[in-house]
Amino acid sequence: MNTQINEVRSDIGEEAPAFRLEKMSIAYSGNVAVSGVTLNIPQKQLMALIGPSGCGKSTILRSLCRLNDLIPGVEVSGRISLFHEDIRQMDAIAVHRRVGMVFQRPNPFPKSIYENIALGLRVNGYRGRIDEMVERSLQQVALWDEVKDRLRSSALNLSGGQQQRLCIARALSLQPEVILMDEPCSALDPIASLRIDNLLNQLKQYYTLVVVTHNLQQAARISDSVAFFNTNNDNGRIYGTLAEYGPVVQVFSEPQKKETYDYVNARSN
Amino acid sequence: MQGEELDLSAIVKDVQMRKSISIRKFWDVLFSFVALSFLILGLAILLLLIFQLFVDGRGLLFSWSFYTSFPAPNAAEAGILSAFVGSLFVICVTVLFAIPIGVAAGVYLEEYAKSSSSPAVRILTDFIEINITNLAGVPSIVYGLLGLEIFKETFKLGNSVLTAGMTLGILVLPVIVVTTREALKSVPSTLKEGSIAIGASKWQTIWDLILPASIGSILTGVIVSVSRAIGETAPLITVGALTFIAFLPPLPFSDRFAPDPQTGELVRAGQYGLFDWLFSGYTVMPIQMFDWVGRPNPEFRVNAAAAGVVLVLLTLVLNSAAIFLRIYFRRRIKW
Repeated sequence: MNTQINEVRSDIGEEAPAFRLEKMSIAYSGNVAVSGVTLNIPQKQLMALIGPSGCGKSTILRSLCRLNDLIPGVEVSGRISLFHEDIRQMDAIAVHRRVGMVFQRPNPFPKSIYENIALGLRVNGYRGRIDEMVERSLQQVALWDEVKDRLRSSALNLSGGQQQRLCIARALSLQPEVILMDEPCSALDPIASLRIDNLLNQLKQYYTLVVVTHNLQQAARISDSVAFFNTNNDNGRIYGTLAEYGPVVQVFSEPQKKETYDYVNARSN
Repeated sequence: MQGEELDLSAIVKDVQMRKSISIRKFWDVLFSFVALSFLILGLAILLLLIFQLFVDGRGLLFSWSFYTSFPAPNAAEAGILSAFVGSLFVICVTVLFAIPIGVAAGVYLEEYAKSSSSPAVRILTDFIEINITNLAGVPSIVYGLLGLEIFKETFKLGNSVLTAGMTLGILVLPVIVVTTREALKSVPSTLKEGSIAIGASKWQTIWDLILPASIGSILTGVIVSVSRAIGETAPLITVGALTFIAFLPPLPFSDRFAPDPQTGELVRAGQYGLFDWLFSGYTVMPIQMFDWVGRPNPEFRVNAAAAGVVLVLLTLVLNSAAIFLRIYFRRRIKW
């Protein structure tokens, strides 16, 4: 499995996108949620997905790691490729392994801090030293010093910000190629939120990150590129489309479209 | 909102509405009293019943021989040993039979069938769901007939602990399936998604996260249904529980005695196997009570009342265990 992945990755340059979405549409039991999205998500950068509520940002994010498979009635059309492989041709568990996900509300497992990370390694048949991996992952999210004396106590006793960093560590421990984050700071206080932002700024050197956020200041602080999605109203049916995407400076200061300009400025004023 | 002025004075001056507050408060207080008195009434009737049992059975409750004697023709000497031990053995079989099947069925219905992509499976699941809820309400004697037909007639298991335990097992099965499903439902979907997101398979998610998180509620359901099964009489009469038993089911590897062919005396004849107790005759507490109550000799009422108190205490112990487990697991896991 691993050798296969390496072969595929070796014949593409640094410039190749991690994800390539081609004319992707998603419908929930016949109702279109997102329509015709064509987007390249570059490697080892942080792309922020922004846009008003209901524009389908989270839906897209969940489709990128095939979490929508869990919901009956979801149909995805078009093509989503992860390093040139169509993810819907891949095994779902292989996709979950290679694409990590961090959720809006921190969802540590109701187990010890140690077990939260060890479980992910164990279910994937990790053969290395679990103790070392736990320590390394917790250090990557700057949580090690705070919890190293109570690794065996319940993860549910941690503060919200610590829980979210633990969830990020849990995703990192599996050494994914991409990490998706659905509004990772919306349930956190400003200080905890800032720590996560700093963490993301460091992580993007090593990982491809895709972050959904409603906080435009956060998007400006952490992202390299931004994709703006907008809602469309087709006779009462509301669905989202990709309005524009590009480097963060371009989208925020010289947007190509009026709707992008309106959204970006209405919030920051 | 813009420019339009609301006439606030009309609202502020409405004294009528303020007056109604005191009337509503009066009804509040009145209703809480009514509800409280009904609660006390209900509890009082129950307590009176148990107290009456206690008073009737007090003559035997405190005598040790009542617990160590087999039934006897003489009321003062008759005890509950075989019935009490029989109840424990039968319940053991019930638990071992019903928990694996019930929990597995609940897990399948809740975690696998519901998210199946095939519409046929989903329709079948809905059908089963409706019927399982109905099965939980089927009178217990009907399960007795079922046990009679399947275990006794078809599988030829006879009047055995095994027949009784499995009959009570199918009786509590629907309740266990339903409570398992409810317990699994209460596990937040964010936990499942978190597990899927780390690449866990469905079975790993269920085994490593969902079952540990819901085990408290599942056990509570199991214990409550088992304490119901302990008191069941009708289905066991149907499958042929005995009423007068002066022996205990043989413990594994205990010595077996048989009459000597020449002298007719009982001599040691090897050991019982590990599972011989399953095929032994038996009686259980409610059957023993039922027998005593029905006897013409009124002295046996004392035995019945004393056995009733023991049965109530047994149920009480089981239910306290259920409450303890629930608190224990809730404290460990909070969302």
